[in-house]
Amino acid sequence: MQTFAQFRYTEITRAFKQAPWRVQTQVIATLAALAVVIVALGGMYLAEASRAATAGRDVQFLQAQKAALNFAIDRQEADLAAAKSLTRLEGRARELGYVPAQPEHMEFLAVKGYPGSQSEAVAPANEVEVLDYNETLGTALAHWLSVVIRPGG
Amino acid sequence: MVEAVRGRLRFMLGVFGVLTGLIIIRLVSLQFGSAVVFFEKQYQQATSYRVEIPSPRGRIFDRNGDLLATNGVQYAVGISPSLVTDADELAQTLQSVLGVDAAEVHTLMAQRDNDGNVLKYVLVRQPVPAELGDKLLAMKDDPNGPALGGLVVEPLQTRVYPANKLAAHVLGFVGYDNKGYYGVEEFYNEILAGHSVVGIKQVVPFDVALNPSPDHGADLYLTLDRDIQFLAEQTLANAVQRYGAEGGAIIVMEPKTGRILAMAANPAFDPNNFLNEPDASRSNAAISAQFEPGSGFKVLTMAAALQSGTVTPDSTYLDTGYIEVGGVGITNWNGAAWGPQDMTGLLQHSLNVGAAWLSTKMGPQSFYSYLSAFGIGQATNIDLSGEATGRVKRPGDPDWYESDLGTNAFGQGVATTPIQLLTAVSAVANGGAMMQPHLLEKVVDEDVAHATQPQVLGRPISGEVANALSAMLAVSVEREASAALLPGYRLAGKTGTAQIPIPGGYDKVKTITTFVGWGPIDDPKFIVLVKLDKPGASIWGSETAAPTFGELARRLVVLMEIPPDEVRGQLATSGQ
Repeated sequence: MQTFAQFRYTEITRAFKQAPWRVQTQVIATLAALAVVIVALGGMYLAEASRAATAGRDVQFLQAQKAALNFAIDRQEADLAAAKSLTRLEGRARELGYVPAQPEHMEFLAVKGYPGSQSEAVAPANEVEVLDYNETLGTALAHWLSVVIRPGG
Repeated sequence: MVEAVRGRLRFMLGVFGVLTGLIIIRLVSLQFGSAVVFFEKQYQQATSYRVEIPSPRGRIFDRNGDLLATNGVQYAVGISPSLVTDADELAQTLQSVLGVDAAEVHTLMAQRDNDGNVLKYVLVRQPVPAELGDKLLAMKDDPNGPALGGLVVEPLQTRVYPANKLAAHVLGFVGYDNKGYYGVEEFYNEILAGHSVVGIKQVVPFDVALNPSPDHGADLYLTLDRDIQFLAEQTLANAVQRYGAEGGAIIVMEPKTGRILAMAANPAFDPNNFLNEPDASRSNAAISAQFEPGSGFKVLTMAAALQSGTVTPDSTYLDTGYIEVGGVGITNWNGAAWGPQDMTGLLQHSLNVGAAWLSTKMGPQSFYSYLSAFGIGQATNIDLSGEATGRVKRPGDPDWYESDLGTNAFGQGVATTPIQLLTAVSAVANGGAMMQPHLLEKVVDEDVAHATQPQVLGRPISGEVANALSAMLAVSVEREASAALLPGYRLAGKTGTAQIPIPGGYDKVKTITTFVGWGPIDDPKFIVLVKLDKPGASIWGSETAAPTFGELARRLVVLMEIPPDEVRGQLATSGQ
């Protein structure tokens, strides 16, 4: 004789066992949840990877731009120096009617308090001994012996 | 029972199989690295490659900060054949921009390696001027331009000399291997070149990492003065042309410090275009050309004779026009006898007989000792690549003869370089102290400057002898080489006319003429050596090298702002 409670349990269990759609729904729900998580994670990963790739491209672009700018600076520096070259300046000056200054064109003025060019410090002079090449084999040997065989030594 | 045994055996077999597998995996791992490392390595190899990041070479300036050498860019143009989108259009573009034959481009693209595979890269032209490289890059980036897929335009770091030929022999040049050749470029290559680094170039953008920066080369500031260098080169070129010389050299130095203010050699060359210049023009004749100095050497002979006490400035001798030394007869330049002469007269008339008389009176030991003290036959060790040492034969050398004592006294049978002769004579100009000739003023690395200090190379003669000899040479110039004079300034100097040794004797027609002069003699600011090779207009130094010195000195005193002697005297007495 079944109790009511036992009867309900049996009926409910049967009802579920007899409703496979409920099992499928559960599986699908679980899979869907997993898919959502995977898609979310994938999306986040893709977003991060895309951001990293963009940053990487930016770095590559900036590196190339830096190199190009350095080259441009070098080139402009060289162009400036070429524009200031003496050959060009002299030619331009001659075109304008200038001539190279000669000593007779110079006028020197005494400026009170101006020290003028000062002599600068020079490394101490090494007194160079002027050697006489008068050493013979005999004197060289005698010198060597005097060093090696010290008197009283 | 049998089944049980078989089961155990299978179990043991399985256990041993697993253990063997583990050992094999470990061995493979030890040999090739772990799978993770292996795949990481494979990935790295597939997505990145090593590149050398060159160090920008240090620049070179003159003493006033004017730029003499810097870096520039040219390009290497190549093709990656597998990436070419339109071969015909690419070939046509390269033909129109670079002037390369289109057929040649097609041939290059069709090249295969030994395995028959298409090459990854073929070089078309290198170096390509910056303007053309930029043009190609602009065309490649232009969406409406020609299809230039597969075209590779890579920048090349190159050396640029904005003043072209100016100071070319001092500077040298830099090859495409980024190494310096000749001049300061070679001598200071280590300092200028810096150190390149190896970086990683990533193909996959999100693996990009910052590469280490190369160690920049340091900047050099030379003692050269661009204006004086220009003047020296112009003066030399004019002199070579005017006197029909084959070449020459001019050096301007500060005798008190050894600083080289200008160093010119002719023929000149353009370091921007070094590949197309003849080899001979690249070497610096001012430091590498050995020659018999001729009469300019009498300055050293006289200095030695005065210093050793052999003679005094007032000593006299009777010039008979002939002296025999070691069985060889020596005559004067004109074959004449000049009668009684004092030491100033000897220098003024540049008498070979008198010079030989001095050296024989001194004796070989003393004479050659002084030559050594003056640095003759030794490199000056100037900071330039390619210096020659010259040569003096000495007693005891197998090819030294007693007659050499006589001929060496007037600069024959002895080989010097212009810088060696100038350095030796500078001792006379500088009160007896011979300064180390040098070109480096300072090295600037980042923001730190390392300055060089002038150094004394030797003191072969005393101040008294140097001053006395200076005065004698000033008189000598006034009487002998008037073309070298400069009104308002007292200068000293000596001409030289040297015969050129050829097999079997000396050239009868051609000479090398020199003039070494300095001034003002009471406070020398410059010493100049002028050397002209085989002038056709005249064989004499007094008619070629001396006027060239005079022409240079006229502008030099202006550029160096040296007041005339009278003005300097007034300034001194007024306490300025």
